[in-house]
Amino acid sequence: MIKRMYGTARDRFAARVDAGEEWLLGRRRATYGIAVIRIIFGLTAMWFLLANWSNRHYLWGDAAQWMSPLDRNGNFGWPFTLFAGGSAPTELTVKLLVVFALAAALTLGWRTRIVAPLLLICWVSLIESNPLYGDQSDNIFRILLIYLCFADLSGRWSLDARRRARGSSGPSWLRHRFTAARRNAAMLATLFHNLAVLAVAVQICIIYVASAMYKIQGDHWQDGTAVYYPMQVGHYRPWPFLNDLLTSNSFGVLAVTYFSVFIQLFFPLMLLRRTTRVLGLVGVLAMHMGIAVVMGLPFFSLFIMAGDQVFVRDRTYQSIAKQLRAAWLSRRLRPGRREAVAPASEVGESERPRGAEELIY
Amino acid sequence: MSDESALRPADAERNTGPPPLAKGLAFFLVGLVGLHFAATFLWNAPTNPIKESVASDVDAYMRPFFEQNWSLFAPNPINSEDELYVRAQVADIQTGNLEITEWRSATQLEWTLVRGNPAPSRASRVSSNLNRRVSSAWRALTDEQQEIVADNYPDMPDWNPLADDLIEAQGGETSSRVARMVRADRVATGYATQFAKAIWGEGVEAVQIELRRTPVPRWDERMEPEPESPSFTTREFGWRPALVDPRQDEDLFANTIEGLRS
Repeated sequence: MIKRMYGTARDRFAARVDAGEEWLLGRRRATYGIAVIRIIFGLTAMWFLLANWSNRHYLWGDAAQWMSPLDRNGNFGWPFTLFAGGSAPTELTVKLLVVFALAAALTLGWRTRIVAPLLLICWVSLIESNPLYGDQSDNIFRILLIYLCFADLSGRWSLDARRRARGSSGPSWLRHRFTAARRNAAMLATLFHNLAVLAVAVQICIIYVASAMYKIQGDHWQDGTAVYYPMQVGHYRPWPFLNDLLTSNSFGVLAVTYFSVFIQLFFPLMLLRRTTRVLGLVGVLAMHMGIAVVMGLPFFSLFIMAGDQVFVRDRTYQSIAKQLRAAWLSRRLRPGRREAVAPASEVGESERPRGAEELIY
Repeated sequence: MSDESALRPADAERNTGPPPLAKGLAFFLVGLVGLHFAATFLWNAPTNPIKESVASDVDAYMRPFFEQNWSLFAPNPINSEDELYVRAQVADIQTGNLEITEWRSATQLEWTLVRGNPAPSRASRVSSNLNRRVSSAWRALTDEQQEIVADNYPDMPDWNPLADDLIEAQGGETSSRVARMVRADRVATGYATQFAKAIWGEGVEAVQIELRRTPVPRWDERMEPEPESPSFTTREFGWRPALVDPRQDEDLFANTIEGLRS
């Protein structure tokens, strides 16, 4: 009997291992979620540069050389030193434009296998060159982007995907020649992609649980008044009227304080079932929307909200995209605008060669 | 996504699944990712025996790329405003007489970037964070050393006189505590010099900084009327000579401050 139980357990274990292998090697996971992270990261990086554009010399240029006694590049060595030690005005402007162009290329999904690591190098160089303004959004962006360099960032909704779907990736003799080698490369890429997805997911869970567990140790998080305090500090008061309105209601302050703790603490567990997963995601997104608007921390919020997208299933994104497309087409089909619809507008994912994105790598 | 899982013809014929090499690689890489997150877990975990025994390895692996700290507004949220105030001794262009200016809050000026702005620039944080740097270096000093820092050193050519006095006050041996304070003092003086020149013009000869901390009223006291005595604490440093880094672009700094004032 023991032997039979052992056999059953072994079979079940083997089945789990097979399922794990299939998850890792079968196909690329969270492809739309990864695309959404890519797009949010790119747009947020561009917005960050624009928001700091008029103060760029004060932050990173020769106007900031008074910082020279400080260690100005963290512990980051070459090649993360592109902005270390300040830059002359024209030089700084040109360098920032390059970073902006890389962020734009990432957003559009253009050559992401090259663009993502380049943006990582430039971004870390830029951020770390000033030791007096950092926050945890810098760490979120850097760590997630390191993981994402291993993912297929342009699998969906990207210029790369469009180019691949047209079959114009490289000269044709090359494409036809190394079919087997390419298939192996595609499998390797799938494996790395799925591990990157896993890494992003685990990191996000660590962030939420760790920050909840730091919070529950604090008196003000326990007595339900914590969110009142930062909202009274000038730094976190972009709209003083809004802050005072929100902190005037003790029940509201208590509810938001406790909600922030519990939604973060239970986030990983809420992922286990679909209903609670939706609730959990809506909860953390709402919390970060609040932080973005009320506390004036949009970049922090957007980077972490981008990470959350990895938990949204491909099927969900597909149905959202389908509905949007249908709404868009019906708008364009309204009377009087019929001539605007060209037959080619129906060319969507369905007409792309199946599996082409996985094959051509 | 199900349409993507269609097997390619060659695979469908053989129907073998992933080759053993791919499986082996997958196992290996899952192990690496597991180790990575074990290190990440230990980095974020409170001090415990396992963490202590591998702390240096974890540190070496995590720094600098995976450095992280998720004590966001925790254990207790930020509950005070930390401002950097600056004043200066400015030489009158005609008479050459030195005049002492009023105190100005560099931080309040930077915070104009926050008001009514959905995406405040990072420039809104520089002087407040500088305050915290100087403050933490100051707190590490002995009482005697804190008094030395509050003394005036208006004419020193470099920061050695201040450093020597700080070293002497702790028995003649230097330490990282002194090095940190001297560095913080120089940086703060460099910033204050630029700020003072931007506000009061080229005649700035010496500057002084003050760290001001204004606590947010406790929740249960928030409705009470403002107390008559000032509710903030200040930490005044002594006079220091104007300090300008050779590569400093003073015009660009002044332009930024001008932009904040308008």
